[in-house]
Amino acid sequence: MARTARRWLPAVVLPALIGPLWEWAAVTGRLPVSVAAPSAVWDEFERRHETLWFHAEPTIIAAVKGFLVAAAVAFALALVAVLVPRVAGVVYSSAVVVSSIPLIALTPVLVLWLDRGDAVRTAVAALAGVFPILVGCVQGLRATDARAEELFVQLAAGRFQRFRLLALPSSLPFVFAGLKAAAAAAVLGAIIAEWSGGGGTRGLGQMMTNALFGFNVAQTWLTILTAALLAVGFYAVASVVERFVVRWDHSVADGAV
Amino acid sequence: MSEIDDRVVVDHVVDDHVVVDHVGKRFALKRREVVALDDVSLRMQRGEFVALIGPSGCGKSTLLRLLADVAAPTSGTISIGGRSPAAARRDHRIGFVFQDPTLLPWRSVLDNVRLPIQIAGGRGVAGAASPEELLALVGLRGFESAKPAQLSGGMRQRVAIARALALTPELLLMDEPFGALDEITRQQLNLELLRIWAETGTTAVLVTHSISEAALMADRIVVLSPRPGRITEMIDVDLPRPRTLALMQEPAFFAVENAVRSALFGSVGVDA
Repeated sequence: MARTARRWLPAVVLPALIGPLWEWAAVTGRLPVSVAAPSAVWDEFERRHETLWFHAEPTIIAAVKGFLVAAAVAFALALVAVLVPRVAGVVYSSAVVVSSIPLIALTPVLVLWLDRGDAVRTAVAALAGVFPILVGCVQGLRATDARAEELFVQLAAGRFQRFRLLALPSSLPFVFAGLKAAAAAAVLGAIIAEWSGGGGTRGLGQMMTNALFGFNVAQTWLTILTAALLAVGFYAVASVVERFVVRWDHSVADGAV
Repeated sequence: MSEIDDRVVVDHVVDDHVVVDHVGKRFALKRREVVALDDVSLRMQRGEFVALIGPSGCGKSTLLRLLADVAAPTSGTISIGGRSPAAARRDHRIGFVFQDPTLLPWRSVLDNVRLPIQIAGGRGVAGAASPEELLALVGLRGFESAKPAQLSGGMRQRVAIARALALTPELLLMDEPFGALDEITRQQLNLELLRIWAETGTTAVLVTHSISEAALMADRIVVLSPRPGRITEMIDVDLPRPRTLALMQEPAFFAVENAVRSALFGSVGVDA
C-alpha cells in the first residue's frame, strides 16, 4: 500500500505544485505569449472538447491499429530470427536501418504509395512501434539463464519444449518493455503522419498544425497536452496488461533463476 | 593404490550399478590443454551413497557432469545400469540437483516439481510419488502455489530436490546442493536428504567440499586431487544408519573425518 502510494504520489504532487506556479507566471506576464496559461487551456478544452474528440478519435484508432500491426510484424520477425539463426543478423540490421529513417521524412513517400488517410497514419504508427518491440523480443529470447538452459539439457527437453517452456516465458519482461515503449511511440507516430498531411482533414496532428498556423496558443497547448496524455495512457494500458501476464518478480535473481 | 585394486576385485562379484572405467576429460583452454580428469575408475552398487570430495579444480564437478551426460568424456567409458549416460538421460533416469536451485520464477512451486514430468511427455512413472507427495516429502506441504521468489534459499533447494525426484531416477546426482546455505539449514537438509534417499532407494552421488557433510551422508567417500584430477583414496564409512546429528560427536565419526582429512592434506597437514 505504502509502495503504491510512493509510486503515484509524484504524479499527483508535481502537477499540483507546477500548475499554480505556471498559472501565476502566465497571468503576471512572466512567460512568452507562445505559452498559454493552464486556465486558458482549460477554457479552450471546455469550449472545443467536441472538436478535440472529432480530431483525436481517428488518431487514437490509427495508433491502436498501428500498434497491433507493429506487434504482429515484430513477433513474426523475432520468430524468424530465432528459428533461422542465420538470418537473425539480416533481420536485425534491416530493422535498424528502417527505424533510423526519420518518420517525418518517410511520411510523404508513404502518402504517395498509400494515399492520404488512415492507411498512412496506421503505417507510420506501426513503423514507430516495430523496432522497440523487435529489440525487446530478440533481447528477451537471448536472455535465457545459462543454468536453466543446462537444466533443460539435463531433463532431455526437445528444441520446441525449450522454446515454449523456457525461452518464451523468460523473454516476456523484455517483450513488455518493448511493447510499452511502442505503445507510446505509436501515438506519436500517428500524429507525425498527420503533421505532414498524411491523415487528411481529421486528426489530432491536423488540429495541432491548424492551431499553430492560426496562432491559437491555447488550442496548440490543448493539442500538445492531449497528445502527451494519450501517449501516457497507451503506456499505462500496456503496463496493466503486463501486470496480468508477467506475474512473477523477475528482479529476484538469486537462486530462482 | 592397493586399496583401489582390492576394491575392483571385490566389486566384480557384486551387482554394480554405475561403472566409471578409465575415464579422462581434457579441455582446450586458450591453446593450453587442461586435464580435468585423468584415468578415473569407480564402481557403485545399486542404492549406494557416494560422496566426491576434493579441493577446487580436482574434477569432482566434471565427473558428476560426465555421469549426467551434460558433458562427454574424452576417453574411457561410463555405464549406468548397463547403458550409456546419454541413454539414461534421454530416458529421464537421472535426477540432478544443481548448486543453485535453478527454479523457473514464473512457475509455482508445484509446477516447478512437475516440469520433468511435463518434459517427459506428461506421463509420470507408474507407481511413483506424485509432485504433491514429493513436496510433502521435502517438507513443503502448503507451499504448492507459492512462487520461488517467496521462498527462502533452503526451501528453494528443497523444491529442486523434489524436482530431481519427480521421475523416480535410478541415479541422483548432487553438485554441492547445500553449498550456498548456512550451517544450520544445511545440516537439517542433510538429514532430510538421507531420509528421502532411504525411502527411494536410489543410487546417489554427492559432490561436496565439506568433510563433515561427506562423513555424515555417504557409504563411501571418494577423495580426488587436482591437476590432473585423480582419485587418490576411497574411504568406506562404516557408520550405522539412520545417521543422526548425535553421531557427529562419536569417536568413530571423527575417525572418518580424520581419514578424509589426511587423504586430502597428507598426515603433515593434519599435524600442523
